[in-house]
Amino acid sequence: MAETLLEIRDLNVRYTTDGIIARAVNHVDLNIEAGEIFGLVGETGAGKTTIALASMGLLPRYTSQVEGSIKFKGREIAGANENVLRDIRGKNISMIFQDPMTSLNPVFPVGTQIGDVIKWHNKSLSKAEVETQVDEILKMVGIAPERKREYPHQFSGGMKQRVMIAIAIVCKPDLLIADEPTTALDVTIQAQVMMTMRNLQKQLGSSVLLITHDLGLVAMFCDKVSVLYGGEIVEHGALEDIFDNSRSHHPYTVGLFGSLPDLHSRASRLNPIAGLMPHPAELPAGCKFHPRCPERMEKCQTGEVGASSSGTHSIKCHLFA
Amino acid sequence: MLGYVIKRILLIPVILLIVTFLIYILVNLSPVDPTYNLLPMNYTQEMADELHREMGLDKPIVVQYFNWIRNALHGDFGFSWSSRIDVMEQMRPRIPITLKLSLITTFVIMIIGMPLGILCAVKQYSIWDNIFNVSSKMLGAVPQFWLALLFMLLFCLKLGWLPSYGLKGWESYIMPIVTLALPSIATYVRNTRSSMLDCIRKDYIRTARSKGAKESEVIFREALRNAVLPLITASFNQFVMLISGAVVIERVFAIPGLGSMVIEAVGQSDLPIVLACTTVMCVICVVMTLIQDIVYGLVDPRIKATFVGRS
Repeated sequence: MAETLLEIRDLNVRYTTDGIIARAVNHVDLNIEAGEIFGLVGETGAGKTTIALASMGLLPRYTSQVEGSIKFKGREIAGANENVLRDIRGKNISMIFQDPMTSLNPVFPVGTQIGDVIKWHNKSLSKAEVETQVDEILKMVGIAPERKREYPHQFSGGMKQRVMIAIAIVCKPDLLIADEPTTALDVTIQAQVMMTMRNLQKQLGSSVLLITHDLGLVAMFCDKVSVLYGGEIVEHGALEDIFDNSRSHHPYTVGLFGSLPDLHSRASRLNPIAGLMPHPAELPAGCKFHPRCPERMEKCQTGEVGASSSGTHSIKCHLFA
Repeated sequence: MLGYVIKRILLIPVILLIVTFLIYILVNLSPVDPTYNLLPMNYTQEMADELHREMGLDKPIVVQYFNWIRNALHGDFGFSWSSRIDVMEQMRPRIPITLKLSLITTFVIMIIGMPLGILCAVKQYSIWDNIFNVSSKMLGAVPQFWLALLFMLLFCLKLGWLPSYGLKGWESYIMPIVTLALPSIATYVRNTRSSMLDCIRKDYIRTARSKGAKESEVIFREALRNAVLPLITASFNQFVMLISGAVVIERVFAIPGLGSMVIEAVGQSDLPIVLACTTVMCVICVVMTLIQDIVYGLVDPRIKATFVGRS
């Protein structure tokens, strides 16, 4: 078994604003091992980004409370002080954000923004050495090194995301968190960006936490998948476990797949899941999914559900408990 | 960038021509006649007509304007209707005084206001934020002339530390500058605070943190460089406002600047002086706007890009 990079145990994150408590992440366990691509799937508001930000200690200090443990290579991240976190961020764990349009600082050339990460984590490097590294990484992500003096507004969306990828991988991190890296890009660029990311991941041997709502991306790239609903992981397994139709799945996962168009069935309409994800401030008691669940039972509305697992596959549902 | 600057400089004379024309027309709309000031009490109609002819006031207003502008271009703004002294001679020593006063005040506002604003933004809702927020609102509500009188009472009469009027050396500048700056510092702190808060919440700040930036780098490099843009505008506006707006304070402290000159001239219906002073203020305004645009382009690459695109 490979080395465990990121180990999240019983993570709870609450946001407090104006006295309203939003329980964004509830009792999440997660293990990412060296070299694997881990998919975290869920609708908007499921708590995906919160888990990502918590893993880097980037949650807003005053409005969020984190409970539980997040260990990176055995070092505790939850509640760690800024100096420890600063050392890890960018060097050991780095992140690619959802919207490349706003994630780059508009007043600095992209070369400077890439060079900064290198400088901050390798104080002994000379200016020239930093510049060579910037050139190299730009070439790796498919941008001509001459463009390093240009500013973000001179780049297209896809190119900006490549710059973001360059920033994220230039220090060869152990873990790359990609938070919906292609959501803001159009479909043709999506494929290019994802291929760039995977090639680099293979070259560097980094692990990737891929956060997405796109099951197609998951099927193409991930080794393991966790399905998130209402801040809870409702189903987890290897890619084959989740995408195997012959197995039993959590009703939410079934619903997610039902809302995808299928080439082989002649359905005239898709089957989206009825209703909306509950607001994290008003999560229902019992199973969080029960108000929308087609197979709900009496007991779903009250008690907490434990996960039942077989092999690498685990489901959190009364149907299988 | 250079092409843009040259284009802007070429535009200046056109702007000034339009502005001075408007000022000239507006000022001349008032029923003011130099005869009251220049002729003896018991003047006759012939004497008045003679004077009008001599001064060119019998010609149509447009012709008068072009005569005035031709002389003005040679630095000749005519003579004062009240004192018969050459306007340029009266005005020349006053321009540097007003410029000095406005420039130092603007710098004082920036140097004090910006760090306080950053402090308030970084420590939002802290005790400092609250103290500066409340005190800046109070300061903003205080009329300047009242503040000036209070300072005079304290520092001149009670303590005798500073001169109360006129310009007798650098000490004389202290009170006017402090009175001018205090209410504006209040505004500047609030501007800086909101501009910084705006930037601190941006995605690229989160990116900077995710890259492992030190907090000082996040604030003073990544955020401030963006937050400073609206502050540049605020600083230049402040300066331009002071050039024409220091009138009250110049009056209270009896400082021989442009502002007090205009006020006196208006009181005495001294049109040549009013015209000359407003024209000089306009020139300063237009030049400042040009410098502001250039500075803006230097700080923000996106604006520089639109310069290059247009020129």
